[in-house]
Amino acid sequence: MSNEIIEVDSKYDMTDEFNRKALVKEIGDDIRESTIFGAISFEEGFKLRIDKEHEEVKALNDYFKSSFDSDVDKDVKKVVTTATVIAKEKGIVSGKYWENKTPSDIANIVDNTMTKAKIAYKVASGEFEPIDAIEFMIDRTTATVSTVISQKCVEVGTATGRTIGGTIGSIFGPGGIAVGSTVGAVVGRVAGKGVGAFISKGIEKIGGLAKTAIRGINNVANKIRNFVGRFLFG
Amino acid sequence: MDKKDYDGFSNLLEDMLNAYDDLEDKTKLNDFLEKEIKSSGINRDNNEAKDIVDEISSTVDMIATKFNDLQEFKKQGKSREEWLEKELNVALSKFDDNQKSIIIKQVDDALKKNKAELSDILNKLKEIKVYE
Repeated sequence: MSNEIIEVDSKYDMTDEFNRKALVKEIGDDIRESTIFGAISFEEGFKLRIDKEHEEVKALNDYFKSSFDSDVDKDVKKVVTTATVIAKEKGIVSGKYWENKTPSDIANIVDNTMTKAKIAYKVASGEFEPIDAIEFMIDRTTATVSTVISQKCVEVGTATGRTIGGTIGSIFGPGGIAVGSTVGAVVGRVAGKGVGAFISKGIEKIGGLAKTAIRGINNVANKIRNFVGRFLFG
Repeated sequence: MDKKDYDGFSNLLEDMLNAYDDLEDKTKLNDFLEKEIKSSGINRDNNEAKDIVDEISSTVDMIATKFNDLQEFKKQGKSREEWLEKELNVALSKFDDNQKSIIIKQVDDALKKNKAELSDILNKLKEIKVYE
């Protein structure tokens, strides 16, 4: 980052404790609401794409049955991310949503997608209550946003050329959701009929709860509230 | 994505997952992934394959570490927002006050923009040409 002085609103004055706490709360609220919207998007984009006829792949079966962030969990996410990077670079997957996605962006998106699918599996298998699943997802998104900020802050000054905002948009914005849906669809297919059926059932349960939760969010933009009301509950 | 590409991506993923499953020493995962990248031919040089794997590996590990740190933090009766404030303080510690404000504004703007694009996201999900 250059040393130029850019004027920003006093709202972002981090030296003022009151401002700082209010802003962190606002960012926390944005993360919470984005996660709930993401859960709905995941349900809308995922549920029709499970291939229940595909034979099970052992590594994925192990992934869904393992605990969160176990060695198997992290290993499989790294394998799926690497496969996705290769697919992108070879042009097997392409389009505007895939443009400018770095391996790190794809790792963030794959972690997000694979974690959601695993939570869904565990909700359907009775290991997780849907309400706990939403809380878990919000914590996961918070950890991911923190990861992006930490990584970008290390990169700043090394002429990486993209802002933290651009990276967050690439992961959680429309492009990130679209890439996540494609990865989710392929993982869902390869997971096989047994696991796939559980994921599908769990996603529906979480999506249903997310739609209920969204009704309780009062401070989202009118455009979003009106759209969600018309699109989902109309 | 048309059916051919969908099949291509599925087959690539399935082959890699089966090869990972056959890997006897799972602690050599990064070497395995480097080899997969090199055999795919997408890397421009030997170092690039290692760089890609390092980037992927460190990102997945960092999310897990931060997530677990957040869980431990909450077990102490503290909130998610308090954890986020702690994380921001650490990440932004090397910047001056003006730079901190700019970075936080970028984060805030990006998250708000993402929310405001929800309608587009949900509509676009219907447009994504994933083979069904």
